[in-house]
This record gives sequence, C-alpha cells and structure tokens, in this order.
Amino acid sequence: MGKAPLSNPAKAPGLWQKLKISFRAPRFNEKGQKVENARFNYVDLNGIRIHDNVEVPLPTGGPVENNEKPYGPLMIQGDHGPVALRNIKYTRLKEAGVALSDLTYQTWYGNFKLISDYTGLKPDAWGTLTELTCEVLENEDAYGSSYRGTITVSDDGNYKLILAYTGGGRLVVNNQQLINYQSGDGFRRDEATILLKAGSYPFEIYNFKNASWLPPRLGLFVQTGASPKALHAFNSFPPDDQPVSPILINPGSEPKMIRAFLDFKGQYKQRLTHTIGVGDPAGTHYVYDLKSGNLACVWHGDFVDATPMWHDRGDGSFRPMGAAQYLFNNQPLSFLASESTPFPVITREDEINPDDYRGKGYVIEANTGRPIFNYLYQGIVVEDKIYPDQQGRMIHEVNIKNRGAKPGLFYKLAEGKSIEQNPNGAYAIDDKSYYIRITKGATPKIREVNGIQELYIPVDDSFAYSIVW
Amino acid sequence: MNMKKKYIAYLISLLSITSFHVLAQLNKTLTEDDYYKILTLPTPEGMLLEVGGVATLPDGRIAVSTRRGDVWVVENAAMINGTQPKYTLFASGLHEALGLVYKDDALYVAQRGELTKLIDKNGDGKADIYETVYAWPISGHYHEYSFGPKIAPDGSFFVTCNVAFGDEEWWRGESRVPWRGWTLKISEDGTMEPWATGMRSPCGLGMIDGEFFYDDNQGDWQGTGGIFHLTKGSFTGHPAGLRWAGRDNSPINITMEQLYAKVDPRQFKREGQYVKPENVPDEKDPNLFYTLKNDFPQVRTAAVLLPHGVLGISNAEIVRDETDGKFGPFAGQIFVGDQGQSKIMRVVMEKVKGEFQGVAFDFKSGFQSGVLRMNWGHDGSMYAGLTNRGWGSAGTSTAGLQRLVWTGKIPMEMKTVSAQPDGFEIEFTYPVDKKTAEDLDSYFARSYIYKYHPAYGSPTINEEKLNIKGVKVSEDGMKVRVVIDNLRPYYLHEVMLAGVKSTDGLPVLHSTAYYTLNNIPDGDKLPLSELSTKRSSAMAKPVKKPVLKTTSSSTKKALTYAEIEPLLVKNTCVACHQQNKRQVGPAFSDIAKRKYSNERIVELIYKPEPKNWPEHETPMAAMPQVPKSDALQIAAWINSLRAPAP
Repeated sequence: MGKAPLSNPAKAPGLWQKLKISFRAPRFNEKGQKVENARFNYVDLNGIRIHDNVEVPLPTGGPVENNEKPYGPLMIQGDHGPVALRNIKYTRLKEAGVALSDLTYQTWYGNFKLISDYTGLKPDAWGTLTELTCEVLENEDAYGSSYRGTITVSDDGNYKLILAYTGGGRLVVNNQQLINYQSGDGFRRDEATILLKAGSYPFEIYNFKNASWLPPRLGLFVQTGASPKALHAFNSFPPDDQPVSPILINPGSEPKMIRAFLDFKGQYKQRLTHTIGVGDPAGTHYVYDLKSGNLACVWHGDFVDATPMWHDRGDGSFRPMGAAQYLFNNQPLSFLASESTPFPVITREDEINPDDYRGKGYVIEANTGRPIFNYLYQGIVVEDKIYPDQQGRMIHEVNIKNRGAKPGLFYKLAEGKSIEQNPNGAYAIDDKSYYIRITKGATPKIREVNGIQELYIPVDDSFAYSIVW
Repeated sequence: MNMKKKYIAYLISLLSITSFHVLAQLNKTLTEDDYYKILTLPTPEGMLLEVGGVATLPDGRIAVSTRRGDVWVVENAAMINGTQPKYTLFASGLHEALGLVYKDDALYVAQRGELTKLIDKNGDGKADIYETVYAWPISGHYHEYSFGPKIAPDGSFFVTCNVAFGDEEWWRGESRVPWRGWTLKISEDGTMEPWATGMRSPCGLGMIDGEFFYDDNQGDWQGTGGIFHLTKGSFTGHPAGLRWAGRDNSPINITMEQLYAKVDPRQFKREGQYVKPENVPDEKDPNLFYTLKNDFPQVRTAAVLLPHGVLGISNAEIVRDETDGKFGPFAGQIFVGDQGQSKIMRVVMEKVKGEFQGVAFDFKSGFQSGVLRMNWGHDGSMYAGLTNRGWGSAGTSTAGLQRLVWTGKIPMEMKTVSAQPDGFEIEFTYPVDKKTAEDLDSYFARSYIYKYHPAYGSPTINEEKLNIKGVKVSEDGMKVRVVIDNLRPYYLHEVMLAGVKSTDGLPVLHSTAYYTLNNIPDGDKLPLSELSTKRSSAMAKPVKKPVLKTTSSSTKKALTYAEIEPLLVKNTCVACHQQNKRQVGPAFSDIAKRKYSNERIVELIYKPEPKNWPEHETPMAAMPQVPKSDALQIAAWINSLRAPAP
C-alpha cells in the first residue's frame, strides 16, 4: 500500500519546484537478513513536509530490482508528460561512531553571571562520570559546572555538535571554543560544526544557571546522519513532557480573516507588522500588508498556524501552512520622477504620512464575505480586491477611483532576479517561481533597479492581473 | 423628580431606616461574598473568551473583544429571564484586541498596530466595515501590546502603547519604533497627538470626570503598580519612550541623556555581554522618582500607588462607579482590576495642591481568571472580562466573563480616607464603636516608598512606623481623624484598623487603607486636647501577645491563624497565599507538606525558588524586607499546619 503525501504543495506546470529527500536504505545483518526497513526520514516539496519518518517495507512500484539491498542506484520515475530536472545535489549521510570517555566533572554553587565567576574558585564537588549528565548537581539553581573528557570519532569529516542547556554554556573541543553563551537564564540549543580526523580529542563543557524558573538541563548531541544522536544521559536532557498543542486555523464555509505579524520569507528580520491573512474556503489564501497596500504572499492548502501568536504569551505572528509563494515587499503604487526611480521603501520605524499613503482598512463584500481593501495614495482613492478563481489562481483587481491628471503613476506587479515573458503572454517571475498575467490594463514593462528586475505597469485607470503558481 | 433622583432618595430612606447592619446579628464571619457575589456567564462549549475589552451598548447588550481577535455581543447577559445569554460574533480577525468602546453607533478597538472602527452598516449584527482610524508603527516584538481606547471629552481617543524588550538585554524595556512607551491621543479624522510618555506596560486606562488616568505594571523603572493622572506632557518614569522626545510633535522636553545623567541606567557589559541589573540590597541613597521633579517638572508621580503583591501584581482596567448606587455604597468611586491576583481594588482620589492623590483598598477577590477589563451593565452589575494566558493568575481558568453583583447588603468598610494637615480622616459606612475606635491599640500605621531604578520592581524601602498621636471620633461615629506627626510627602501611608469595630461589633471588612500622600494639605491641625490617646494595653493587664514577640523555642504552642494573621497581612504574604487554598502561590498547608525546616522557609522567603512550584506561573518575588523575627514565626506557623505523624 502506498502512502499519500500529507498535502499537495506542488506548483503549476512550467515552474521550478524544490524537492528535498532524506532517505535511509534498509539495514541487514551479517547473514544478509533485513533488520530494519528502508525509510524516508522526510520528504519536503517546496519547503512543505509531505512525508515524515515513513517506513518503506517493500520495494516501491516499478523498481530497479526487487531484491532490497543496502546500496543501490537512485532512480527518478516520471509520469504524465515531460519533466525537467536541474541542480541535483546529494550528500551521502553516514552515521559516524562518536563516543565520550574519561569523563570528570566539577560543580560550584553560587549566583554566577559568567563562567569566569566560578572557574577560579575551589569547586564544591568533583568526581568521575560514566556518562555525561547534569544529574550530579545538588541544587536546582545557582550553580556552575564543568565537564571534561575525551571525544572519539570513527571517521574523518564534519561533525555537527549541538549543546542544549538551561543557563549559560560553553563547548570547547580540541581547544577550539565552538559555543559560548554567558547569561545565567538562557534556554538554548546552540550548534557548531567542527572538522575532525578519526581519533580522540579533549573536550570541555561549562554550564551555569541563575534562573530559578528553569530546570537544570544539559544535552550534547552529535549529528552526522539524518538526525542528532544524544551523547548524554537521558535524564540530563529529557524530552519535553508538555509539548504544545498547535492552534491551526482554517476557513469554514466563509472566508476567514486574521490580523497577525508575518515573517516575510520566514525571516524575523523581514517581519511585516500590519498584515492580514485571508483564508478562502476554496483553499487558496493570501496575506496582505495594510501598511503599504501590498499583496505579500499567496498559497494553496491549509490556512495558517496561529500557535506562535496564541500559545502562551505568543509573539503576534502566524505562519502560512502551505508552500507560501512570497511576492515582494513595500508600497506598489507610486508616482515616480522617472522610470528609473525606485519604488518607495517603508521601514518598521516609519510613521504614516497621511498626505502620502494611508490605509483605510477594509469592507466585507456582502455576497462573498471577502474583504475589499481601501487606501488613499496622495489623494487617489484605491480599492484592492483579491480573490481566488476556480483554478486556484489569485486575481488582483486594483480599482483607481479618481486618477487625476498628475503623470508618472506606476504600480509594481512583481520583482525577482529574472523576469521573462512566455509566448502565451504571461510573465515568469524570479527564475520561473510564479507567473503574472495582465487581465485588464496597460502592457507591463520590465526594468532593473539595484540589480533586481521589476515588472511594473503605468497606471492611468483600474487594472487587474492574475498570479499563477 | 426624575427616576435617578427618586432612586437615590429611596436608597437614603432605606439607609436611615436600616442604620444597623442586618447581618451583624448572625453568628458567622462575614466575607466579601456576603456583599458582592461573582456570577459566571455560561458560554457555549468551545467558545474562548480571553477578554481584552468590555463595552456596554446603549441597549444594554454587552460587547467583549478577545485576545484572539473576536468581538462578541452578548444579549441578556444578566440572564434576567432565567434564560441563557446569547452570543453573536460581531467581528473577528483582530490583532490582540485589548480594549473596546462604543461611540456613535460603532465600536472602536485598539489592535496591536492601529485604532479600528467597526461598523455594522447593513444592520445584520455583524461588522461589515473595519476602518483604520489611525495606524502607528510597531516593530513586531511580542510585548508591543496596545491598549484602549478611552474617549476623551472632545470625542477623541486615548490609546497606550507597551514597550518592547531588548534582544540581549531582554530585561530592559525599549522603544524600538516611534511612540512605543507613549500614550497617544487620536481624533476621529485620524490625526494623532503624542500625549505623554514613561509608560512601561500601561494596561489600565480610565476616564474619570473628563480626566485621563492610566495604571502601569511593576517592572523595570516601575517599583510597584500605580495609577497616574496623565495630563499632556507627563513623564511617568519608564525612560524608553524618551527616545522620541526630540520629535517636533513631542510634548516632552526631557531627553534620555538628561535623565541618565541623574539616574544610572546600569547598562554595562562584562566579557562582552550585558549584565542584568539587580536590586542592590542595603543601597545607600537610592533614587526616588519624586525627587526628579526638581530637575524635570514634567515628572508625574503616581496619584495612587498600588503596593505590589498587596493591591495587585499586574493592574488593569480603571472604572468609575457610575451606577448611582445600584452597585452599592461606593457610587462615584473608582475600581481597578488586577490580572495576576484576579481581583478588584477600590480607589478614592482627591486633589491636593493641584495634584491628585488618594487611597486604595482591597475590594473583591476570587474571579476565575485575571481581571483585565470591567464595565457596567444597565442592571448595575459590573462585567469583568478575564484572561490569564501567558502570565497565570490566582484564578486558574484561562479566560471568561463574570459579573460582580451587589447583594444589597452594605459592608463595614472605610468608605474613604482623606488627607489632613496632621494625618488622615477616615469615613466609614457604619458608625464605629467608640470604645474600639478611640483606642490607639486598634491602629497600626507605617509609611514606605519604592526605588526608581532599572532593576525589575523594588522592595519597599525607607519604612517608618507612623506615630499616631491620637484619634478623634466624630459625634455620629461615621468619621475618625487619625493624627500623625511624621507624614512624608510622596510616601505610601498604610493605616491598619485591626481593632476598630462598628457599633454592631463588626470588624472593618478590608481593614487596611493605602494612602499615597503626594501633598500634605495646608490648614489647621487638631488641638491635642480634642484627641483620644487611650491605649487599652496601658489600662488593662498586659495581655500576652505571642504574635509580636520573637519565638525561638519550638516547644511553644503553635499559633492560631488569628494570631499569625497580622504578621501575614503586614508582610503581604496573604496577597498570594492562603491557608488551605491555592492562590497565586501555593497554600500554606501545601508548603507545610514539603517538610522544610523553619530556617529553610525563612531562606525561601528571602530568596524564593519558584522552580519548586512549577504549576504556579507567577514566580514569587524575593521579600528581603520581612524582618527575620516575623519570618521565623511565619515559618513555624506554616510548619504547624502539617498533620502530626500518626
């Protein structure tokens, strides 16, 4: 029995997609008997996980051969017409042997703010350990500690080391300081990669805590294969026993609107602060930025994960649950002094200038339940209407109420490292990430500003376009 | 005579007939519940009312906004017909809607980044226009909450803006974008006037007789919570917002550099990393906020300080009793909610030498979650909007809407306390028994203040016992003048009436008044000849009072609750702990089960380890100000609650 993907984040034909597969071959004992099934550790399509830790008990359909083996060729099977592939990269993951030995520890008790606050003092306790563990601590808080020993690796190669801890921590391997965070109240998971030849090396870990609300935790993981392997005792860093129940939002029979911060392209540095997500019952959704009157991203599938906003204090943000196609940021409508003038950039610090751009909010359309956005730009009244069609395309109508006579008004439709026009008239944006097709209005133009290509349209009247991805 | 006047006249006649307390004859201890009852509004299963705003509509329906961005309109919230309240979703999808107000056929709500007007144009009971009145910048930090609005007399709106916190300096409030840490005044046409700064976490807003007040939450630069009278250009203490004081439209002319030249922000690094400033124990000459008034006239101290841990830990909504007596004997007075302690305090303010000041009392505890918002129903009950998500509270539910209803009985309370040139005048709801009221042993009073520093919160400092020189009870027994000769301006003066009884023998239900004495009024002092200076302890045989002595012997008989209570009250333990019931902190009886030694409990009072109680979300503050002798007695009493081994 095959296993269906968790969702379908596939893009429209003709656009480049990204597939990332982590596969582990079946394992066999010395007698050649299979002891573990093959498994997909994960499969991500366009950044969305579609298979997560799935075993493959039998060869899949139409295999190279029917006898399972520990090693074999990769085969890509096509179906339903032509398929183009590019940029195939692979990494052979090998679980390296890593072990700790000769472990000793020292502990100190007191309110330390830095590692150097205690390393010069006589420790309160010390001894040897058979495994790395913070269970040697006698107090739950106000402690300093150090652990020393030998780390032995079986192969030459890069080793990703992960130090997970409460309080402050430092990791030194072979006299190289890899991690150093000195604040007594952290709850951290820091990682560093070190190139080692097969052999044994000294290592040191320092950990101190001055935060009574956090339990003592210290974990050291190494990752060479698909997932990290613990090098510490289970109870030194046990799994979270109170995992968070996610808060997932989907539209019902009517469109759903939710204001939230959006981390544009998933990046906190590009957090948009006056955004609204609009989920449509048809399963095609978008986020609109009310601070600039701009359509920021579109996607298919489930609507948003509001856990980051509504769990505990929350951080005010949500995450699109499908493969979000981010468009671009900032105000798309502007008078430009010349056609080489960039479109305006609005930062988080900027206050509204009511004489320039001013958002007026939105009105719920009676028959559809969808929002229609309104804003003023230098006195021009603009109505923004965004909705999906039956084919899952997003339609964007920009209705200009009182254009006036001032020349030089333009609207940015898209940007990317490349923009090209297809024979059918659509524009393929940003190395074929998505298409834009004008359905009403003037012919768009392509220009380059600061090394980025832009698709823009002169605005003399209302216009409309569709986005296909 | 209109209806309102008729009602008042009726009440007055009722009061004159029943000048005795109807419950006094019953042989039971009277509690808050005998006078004010909390009733819970049922909600359909799955509906989550994490309330951020409560508004009363002209037709008596109650509208609530929630932290999840919904606005519900509740019909028949008072359940007058014995039928269920009906909930209609008026609006949804708002960003952390922490306030709601009705004006001119629309609801106004502050979202994180804007003031929004919600209009139901087609009259189907659902908003169809979500109009941006004014949008302000925001950096996207979680703590950048925006509260309000409240409507100013000119019809414009007040909104308050929380600070963000640093990335590395996560303890330091900062204003990353313009007007965080400020109060804004926004007009209907979308123009914005920066009004005042110094805000840290200005959760509670209140319009009182046309004047704007807000309360702040204890934290960095705010030693305790307090209510501030916010005139234009006020600076209430948190420096973050001063970053924008140089802007053309700023009414504040204090710069951060000027302030930091007077008060060290203690922003320094060791080995390349910022170090969190902590309270300096036994600090010599700590900064006091009021002293900065000399350098900066725009400094505005709290009109009423709300001592942290006693009158709340995270103060919220400020409302004036506008029920004309339907809510009981405190018409015109002010009620303040508290999130962390799930309770409501009562405040009365007066203006002395041009500045507001006044008194605060405990009023009503026991709400099911944190009290964030209150408003009045047409039935005269108070609707309390509740949430505790992310912070925890004494009430352990995460959300809800409850009503506080007057039972019709008047409690024996201090109705108000006003400042006098030589002390205070206390007015009661019932005449006092002169024997107890003229006995100076019935009173205990002290004064103290809080530090102005960048560490989180402040212990009470500069504590001084107030010298009560004498008291004078008015003819009708309704008032008592307490004459004190060591009043200190800007200090919080705490007056406890442990022994005062009504003529019916009732103790004062909430027997401590917390008066913030910004100014001492001018005027004549009472001549000593008019004062009673009696002390029952001096007249009677000395009564053994084990409570006030240091006990070191463990063989002594355990104290009763009545004996330990004064110490628990004085040291504010009861703000978070009860004998047998979990509150903000664990029950004393649960602490007893841990079998700590007395000395260990004392250690934990001075340096708590909240990790010991992971199910309590609000960590206990260190209480270094508790005298060791008190701490030892409290510890011994806690341990006496443990059932003896069989």
